[in-house]
Amino acid sequence: MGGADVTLVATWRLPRVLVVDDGEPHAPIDGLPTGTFLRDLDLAGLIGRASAIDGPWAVDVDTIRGLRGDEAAARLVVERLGASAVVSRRVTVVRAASAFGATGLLGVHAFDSTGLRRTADAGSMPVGVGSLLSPGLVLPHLRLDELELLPRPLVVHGLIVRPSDALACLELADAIVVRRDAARYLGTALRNPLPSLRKPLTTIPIEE
Amino acid sequence: MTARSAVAPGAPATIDRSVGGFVARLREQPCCAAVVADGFLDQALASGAPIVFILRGDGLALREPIERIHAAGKLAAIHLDLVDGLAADPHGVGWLARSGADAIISSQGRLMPAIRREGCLAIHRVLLSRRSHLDGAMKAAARAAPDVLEVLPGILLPSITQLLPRLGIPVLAGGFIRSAEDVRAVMAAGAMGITTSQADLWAEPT
Repeated sequence: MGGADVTLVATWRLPRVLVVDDGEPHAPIDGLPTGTFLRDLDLAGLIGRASAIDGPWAVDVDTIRGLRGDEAAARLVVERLGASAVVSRRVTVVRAASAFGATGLLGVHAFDSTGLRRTADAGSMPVGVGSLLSPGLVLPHLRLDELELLPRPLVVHGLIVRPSDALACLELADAIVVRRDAARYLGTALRNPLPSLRKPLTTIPIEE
Repeated sequence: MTARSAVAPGAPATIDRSVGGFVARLREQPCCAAVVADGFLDQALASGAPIVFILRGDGLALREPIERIHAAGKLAAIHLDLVDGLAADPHGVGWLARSGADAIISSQGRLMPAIRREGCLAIHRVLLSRRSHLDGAMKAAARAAPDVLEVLPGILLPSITQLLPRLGIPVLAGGFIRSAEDVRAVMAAGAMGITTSQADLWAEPT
């Protein structure tokens, strides 16, 4: 890493709503500031999308086909492609991303309380990086002591299928990852939460 | 449902290991004891939980704990992927079966036929993380044809039940279920039983 230092406290400099990239040009959504979340691409696709996106973006490098999860990958996405945040389940990748100037987010799965605690107890929660919790919908169900296990900034991702759930997650997380149509709806919900929460919700795909 | 009634080595003949027997126990008491650390087993044995799920420990030394579970009149379900010392392959399955396991849990659908061949109940654990993965995960579960499906995080079942296909097999829910209210909500969403390490949810013995 060329001797670069990792900061002790990571900061969140992206918008609080990240929209999953769907190949369309990035555009403001109903007054809602958003960033872009890249995932499930091959390496060439990542390079192409990164050059086409306006505004800040994050990438889950573990889902990029053809890219090994190591320091070289972190250098590529941060220094050459311009990622503002990098997600990986590998500590070395997120620490390297942080050292290169992006926000590193350690991918954390939370399927049950025992597994979440074992992940934390294993000493894999490094300083200077944040975390991306999956499935994000569990966030409102975590106890305070479990929430405190997760390094900040905290981003949540996955199974958030109702706007009310999205809003609940935004109360606890620094940012959430949603689809474009959900982000559009979320902008309305944030401005006028009570009517939005009363709408039929199950057909609205807030999260992939 | 498979109508198996094999009896595990060391198990009292009165223990019914068929799917029907498993479901009947859940109907009487849906909260199963998930043993995740030393010391939990004694508490589980003293409780009214009908089935004890062993999620941690030495997989090579389970015969004695399983005998104690049977002596308490309960079924023993062992998570092959999580216990120490055993590979998640058909040989590991065989070892657990010979140790007396009534049910074997794995996230690997390919092991379900081997588990059934050994005369144990096959429980397929499905981990739900992203909506885009749900379809594939549930199709894989359907192909694996387990006796029982365990869904994690179970606390999310009420929020996502409309996204899950009906597979026609009993569903257990585990993960972040902490209160009687949670149990009721998850059961109302379609779960037949709950797996939890929250000992206060294990019923008192009747």
